[in-house]
Amino acid sequence: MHLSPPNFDAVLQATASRPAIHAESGSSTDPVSALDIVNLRDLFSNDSSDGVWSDMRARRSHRWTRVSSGAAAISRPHESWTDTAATIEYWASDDLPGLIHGLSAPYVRVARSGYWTKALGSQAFTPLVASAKVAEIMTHLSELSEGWNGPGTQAPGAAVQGDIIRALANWPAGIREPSIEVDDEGGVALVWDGDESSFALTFLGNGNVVGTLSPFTEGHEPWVSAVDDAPGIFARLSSQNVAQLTA
Amino acid sequence: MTGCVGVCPREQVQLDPISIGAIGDDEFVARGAFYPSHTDKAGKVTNQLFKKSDLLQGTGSVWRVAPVGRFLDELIPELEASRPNNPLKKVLAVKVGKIRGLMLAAGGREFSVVDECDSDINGGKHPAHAHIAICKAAIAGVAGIEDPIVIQAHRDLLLLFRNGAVWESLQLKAA
Repeated sequence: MHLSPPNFDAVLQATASRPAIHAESGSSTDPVSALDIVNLRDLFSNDSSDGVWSDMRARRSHRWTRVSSGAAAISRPHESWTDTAATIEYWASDDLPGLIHGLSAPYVRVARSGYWTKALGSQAFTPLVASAKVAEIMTHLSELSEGWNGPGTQAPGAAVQGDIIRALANWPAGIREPSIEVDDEGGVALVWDGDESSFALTFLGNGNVVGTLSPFTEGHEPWVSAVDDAPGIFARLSSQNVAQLTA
Repeated sequence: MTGCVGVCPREQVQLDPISIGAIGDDEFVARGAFYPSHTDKAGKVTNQLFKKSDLLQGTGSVWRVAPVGRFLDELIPELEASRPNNPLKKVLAVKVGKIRGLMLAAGGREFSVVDECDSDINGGKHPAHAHIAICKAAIAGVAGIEDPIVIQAHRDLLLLFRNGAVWESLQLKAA
């Protein structure tokens, strides 16, 4: 049996219109304040496999689509984590309406290091990174391992990747897609190049991002911002001189 | 933290006894860009061309090129042979005066360029080898490579070299 790729536009549209979110199990009804998956669309279109999952509770089989790995971040009252190699399962929408605790499909659950979260209604999902380019970046980073560029070179760790995810959580429209530069010391820079100048956001995994406009220009000193301060970061991207590169 | 203003005393004298002398502002220094260490597949130079830690330690390795230093037709085969598994994509050269002209936000120079002849970590030396170093005055009190001063200096230097290609591999041009 082979399923068509999920229609994510429909998923996201449904997500936006569904405010109430509850965990699957009766043991918890914690609302999900944020559940974000990076490059969901990309993963489903390129790295999914289809099969049959037997739902013992429902005593019937459902078609399902399983994603081998992806980046996910969960933040709700009883748990908070970021994992760049989470396992994500998705059930096609036409299989599930009303079958699981009244949740209408689509239906998703996420696993971290073998531990399955309580399954979550798809309305919990919001696109973390709208840019396909940034989704590509995250996929690329998760593929690097220690020694990727010769002995002693460091791969960007989960801390760096988590910082990038957080910084780009509200990626605004109108920002040109950056190129990515990974250094041997475990850092990652997102770079907007012009002919004679360049702007970079550098992530080192310490919870901060450093912005630099090169060559140094009066009034554009290098700055440091917490990665969670997305509005502040993007305000700087929109400032004069920088905007010429990023817009 | 501010860097040195104007003349750096370390640049005015011959530091290494075997060097061809102190380095003038009009000289060019060059660095090979290898794939995948320093460029992407398309030959675009990445931030790995120089390691921040090397610049911080004062060991950003470059070659002094002709007419004062080495001729490219001699240097390029040596560079290619030095990393048989990493194709040389480009040779990038920058006028020393431009490197010395990079300025810190807080004032003063970002870099010095000195005639240190240690060309590798195994004791190799060459009279036409040189080092680029973040100004010692600028990094007094700097914690490490995560400091914005270091990151800004690194990016500024990359921009100079990125635009300084004086040789590209035929493979790259064909691609």
